[in-house]
Amino acid sequence: MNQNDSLGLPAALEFKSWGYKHASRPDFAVSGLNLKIDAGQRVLLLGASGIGKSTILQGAAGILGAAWDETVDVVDHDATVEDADGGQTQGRILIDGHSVRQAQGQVGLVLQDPDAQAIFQRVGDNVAFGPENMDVPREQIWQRVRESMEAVGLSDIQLHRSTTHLSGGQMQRLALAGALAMRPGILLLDEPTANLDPSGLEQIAGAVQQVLDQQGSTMVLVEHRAQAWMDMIDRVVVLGCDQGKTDEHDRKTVVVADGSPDQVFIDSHIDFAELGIWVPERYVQRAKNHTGVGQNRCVSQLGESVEGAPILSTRDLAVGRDGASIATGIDLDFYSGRITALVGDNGAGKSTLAMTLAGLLEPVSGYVEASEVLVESGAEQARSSHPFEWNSRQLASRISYVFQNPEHQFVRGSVLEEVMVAPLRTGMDQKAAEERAQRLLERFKLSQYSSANPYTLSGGEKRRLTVASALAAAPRVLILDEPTFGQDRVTWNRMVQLIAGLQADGVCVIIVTHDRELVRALDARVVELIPQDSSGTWERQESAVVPDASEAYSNGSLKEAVQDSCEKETRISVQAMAERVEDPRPASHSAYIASINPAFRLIGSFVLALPLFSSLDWLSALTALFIEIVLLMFAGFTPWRIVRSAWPLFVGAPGSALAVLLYGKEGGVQLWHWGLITVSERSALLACATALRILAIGIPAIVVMLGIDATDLADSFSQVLHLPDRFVYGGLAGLRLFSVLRDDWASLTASRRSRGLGDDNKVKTFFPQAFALLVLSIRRSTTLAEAMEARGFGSSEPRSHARPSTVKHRDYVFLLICLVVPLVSLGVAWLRGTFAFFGN
Amino acid sequence: MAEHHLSNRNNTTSPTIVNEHRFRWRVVDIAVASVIGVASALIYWLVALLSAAPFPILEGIVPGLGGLFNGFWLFAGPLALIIVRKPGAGVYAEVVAAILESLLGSQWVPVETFMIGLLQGVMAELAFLVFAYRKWNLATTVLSGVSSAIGCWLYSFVTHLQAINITGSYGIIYVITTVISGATLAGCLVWYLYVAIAKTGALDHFESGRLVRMSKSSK
Repeated sequence: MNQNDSLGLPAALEFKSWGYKHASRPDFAVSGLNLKIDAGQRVLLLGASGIGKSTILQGAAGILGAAWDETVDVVDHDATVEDADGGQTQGRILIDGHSVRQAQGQVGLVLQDPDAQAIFQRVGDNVAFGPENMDVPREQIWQRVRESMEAVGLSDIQLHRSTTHLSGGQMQRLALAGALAMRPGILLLDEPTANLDPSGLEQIAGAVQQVLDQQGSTMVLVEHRAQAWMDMIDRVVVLGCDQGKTDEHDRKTVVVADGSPDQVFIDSHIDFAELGIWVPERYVQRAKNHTGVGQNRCVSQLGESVEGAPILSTRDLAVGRDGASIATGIDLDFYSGRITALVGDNGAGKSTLAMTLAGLLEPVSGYVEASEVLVESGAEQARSSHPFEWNSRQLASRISYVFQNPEHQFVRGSVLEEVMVAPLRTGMDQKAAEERAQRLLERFKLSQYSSANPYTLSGGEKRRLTVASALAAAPRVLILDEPTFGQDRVTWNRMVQLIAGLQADGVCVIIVTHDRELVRALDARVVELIPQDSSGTWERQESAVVPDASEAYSNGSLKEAVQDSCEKETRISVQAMAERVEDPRPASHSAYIASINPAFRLIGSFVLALPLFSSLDWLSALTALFIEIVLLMFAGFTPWRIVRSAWPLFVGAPGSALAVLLYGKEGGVQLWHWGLITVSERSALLACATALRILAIGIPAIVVMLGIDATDLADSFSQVLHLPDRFVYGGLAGLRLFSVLRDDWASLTASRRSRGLGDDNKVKTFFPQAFALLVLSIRRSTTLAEAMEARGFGSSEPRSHARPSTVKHRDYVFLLICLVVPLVSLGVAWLRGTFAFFGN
Repeated sequence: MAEHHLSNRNNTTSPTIVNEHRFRWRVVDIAVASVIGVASALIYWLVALLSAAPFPILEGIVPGLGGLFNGFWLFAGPLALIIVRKPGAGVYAEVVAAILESLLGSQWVPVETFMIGLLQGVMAELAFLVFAYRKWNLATTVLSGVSSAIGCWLYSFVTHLQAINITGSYGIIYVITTVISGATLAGCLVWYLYVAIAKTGALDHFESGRLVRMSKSSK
C-alpha cells in the first residue's frame, strides 16, 4: 500500500460526449454530455426532474448496465455500446484519465434511501464491504472501518450492532462511511438527505463537510434543496436539454449555467422554479422562491372551523405497536377544514400515532373518538364511535390513510380502476364511480394515464394517485404520511396546492411530515413528538413559545397548547429511542456447538440424517434418538430446551405417522378396516418407526442449527466451502430483506383495510397481496443490487474477507460424532434383525 | 501498488469482448433470485398458517387430497427461473429460501427444508434445461411446475411415507394431487404472475420483463 492509495487523493471526473439509454425507455436519459470536473471541486448538479442527474451519477460510479462488458474504449464518440441490462452507452466517462471500471473504488456513491443502502445486518460489515470488494487485506479493513466510522461521527456505535435500530440520520451516515472506507477520490451524493428529518440532514451535511475538509475529495451533489450544503459548494452546474432540430428524439444534454453559486443563483435567465429547485435562502431576495399557498389562511381557518366541534378527538390515548406504548396521555382535537402536521424525528412514532388515528392500529389504552358527524357520514351505519372497531368499508368512507410508499397501496391494474376501488366498495354503482374517478383524475392531472398500470407512473404521479384514490371514497378525514418525500419543487408545489384545496373542501387533513417548507406553506397546526430527553426542534421563529413549555410537558403527558391562533403548537412526549448497547448474540445455547464452524454444523446435521433414511424400523430410530439426546445433554442442553426448540416436530411427526398407520403397508393381524383404511399390526409398527425417525432426524438438525448467524454461515460458505462470493453474499444480502418484507406485509394489510378491501375473506385477499409483496421485493432487490455494485461488488476479481472463518480439529471431531451416531444405530438394528431397507 | 493494481485489472479484462452474457449472472440477477427466495419463504409461511386448518379436512375427505396444497410451496423455483432466465436460478432461489427457513428455526426442520428445497429447485430447473434454457413460455413453465412437484412428492415419500404403497390408494392419489397442484399453482399461475409483475415495470432490468412490456406497447 503506498501513500497515494491510502489517502484517496482527489480525482478529476470527465464526461466526453457521454450518454445513456435505459433499456425500457425510447429515448436517451442523458445524451452527448460534455462536462469536466477538476480534482477537489465541490459541485452542485442541478436540473429539472428527468434530465438524468441520477443516471449521470450512476454512470460515474460505474453501476450502469452490467459494466464488465465495457472492455474496449469507445473511440468513435457516436458509437453506442449495449450492455447486459439492455441499456446503451455512448461516449466515455474518465476518472483521472482512466475508464470507470479501471477506477473502481475511486468513486463513492451515496443514494437517497438510507434503508436501501444497508446491505448486511451488522453495522461494521456494511462499512467493511467496500474494502473487501477491493481486496484490501483484512488488518487494513478494520482500520479503515474505524477511521470511516469516526469520520462520520459514528465511532460510538458498536460494530456488531444491528442496523435495524439506527435512526435515518445514522443510517445515512453509515452509508457515507461505507463509501468512505473505499477511500474514494470522488464522492457522489444523490439526494442524500431527501428522506431525512432536519437533524438527519444536519448530521450528513456536517459529516460530509468534515470529510471534505480533511481529504479534499472531489464532490458532486445532486439535491433539490441545497440550503444546508451551500458552504461547501464552490461550483454550480445547471443541466438542460437542447432539443434536436430535425428529430425530437435527438436531444442533447447541455450545460445551461456553470459557475460559482454567486454567479449562478442570481442569473435571471434561469427559472429555478421550473427546474424544480429551491433557491438557497441567502439568494432568495433576488429570486422568488415559493408561492406560499397558505398565506392568509389564518383568517379563513379561524372563520370556518374553530367554531365547530372537533370531528376526531383522542382522549387519554396511548399509542404503540404490539401493546407496548411509546406515548401516553394524548389529548388532541382535529377539526374539519384544518390541517394538522404531526412532526418529529425519524422513528419518533409519528406514523404510529397517525395509524392509530386512522383506525389501523389499536390504541394501547384510551380512545380515538369520532364525532357524531363523522360517524353519521359515509357508507353503512357505523355502530361504534371508535374507528378501530369499524369494518373496512365503514372506515374507507370516513377516514383514509395514504401510505408513504405508494406501492403499498396499489390493488388494481389500471389507474382508473385504482381510483374506483373505494367508491365501488362503499356501495356506489359502476357508472357513478367511474364519473367520480374521472373527475378526480382530472383534478390531479392524471387523466392521460387512466389506462396505465399504476406501478409504471413516476414517483410524483404515484403519490398523487394514492391521494386521489383515498379521496374517491369522500372521507371526512384524510391522513397523509410524508406526502412530499423526495419530490422536486415542481411536484412539491402541486402536492401543496392539492392539500390546500382539500382544506377548502372542508376535509380534515392530518399530515405526517418533517418538511418545514410544507408546514409553512400550508400554515398547518403543528403537533410535535419529542423524545423525553430532548427539546423540540420545531419552534417556529415567529411563534411565541412559552419559555417553560418543555418543563410543563416533560411528565410524559400532553396538554393542548395555546388555542387562540393558527400558530398553535402541541408537543407530545415520546419514549426516546434508547442508545442501545447490544451484546453479540451467542451462536448456540451450547458453548461447544457455538464453537463449531457453521458450515460444519450444517454438514454435520446432513451426515447424521442421511444414513437413517435407509431403514425404516423402530429400533434404529429409537437408538439414534437416545444417543442424540444423551450427547445433546452433554453439550449443555436440558431435555426441556430440546423439546421447546424442536416443537414443530411434535406437530408434524404424528401427522405423517397417522397417514402410515391408516394407509401404510399391511401385514400381520388386521386391527381395523373401514373404506380405504386398513390398520394392521405392520402398519402400526411402521407408523411408530416413522414418528420416531422424524424425531431422530429432526431434533439434532434443529438444535444444532439453531442460533447460527446468517453472516457467519455465509463467511463459512465462502472461506471453508469456497462457494462463489457473488452468490453467497448476494444471498446473504437478500436474507436481510426478510424483516423488511415482513413489515411490508403488515403495511399491505393495513392499506387494504384503509381502502375498504379488508373485509374480504383471507383467501381472497391473500393472492393480490402476495402479488404486491413480490413486486415490492423485486423493486427492493434491484435497489439492493445497485447499492452492492456501488460498493464494487460483482466483479470476478479476487476479494478479501473482513471476518475470518476458520476450521479447527474440533470441527472434524464433531463431524465424526455426527457420522458415528447413525452408523451405530443402524448397526444395532442390523444385529437385532429389525433393519428394514426403505420400510420393506 | 495502486498503479499496479489498476493495470492488473486492465490486463485481465481487456483481451476479448465477452458477448456471451446469456449465462453470466449479473449482480441484479443474483439479488432478484435471492429475494424471490426470501419473499417466497415469507409467503410459504403465511400459506402454512392459512392451510393449517383445511389440510387435515381435505385429507379426511379423500386420503392424499391434501397434496393439492403442495403447489404453494413450489413456486419459488419456476418463478425465479422464468424471471431471471439463468441456469441455476431455480436451485439458488429454493436454497436461499431453505436456508432462511432453517435459520428462522421455528417452522420446519433445517436439514429437510434444505434437501427438499434443493430437490425441488433441481427438478424445476430440468424443464428448462432440456430445452437448453432457450424456451421460456407457458408450456415450459407448467412443465417446470410439474417436475418440481414430482421432486416434492419424491422427497416426502422417501422421508415420511416410505411405508406407504405407491400403488395403494393413498400413494396414487397423493402423486396425482401433488402434480396437479404443481402444474396449476407452480406452473400456470407462476407464468401469469410473471406477466403481471413484468407489466408493473419492476422487471425492466431483465430481458424477461422487457419482452412483456414491448409486446404490450406494440399492441
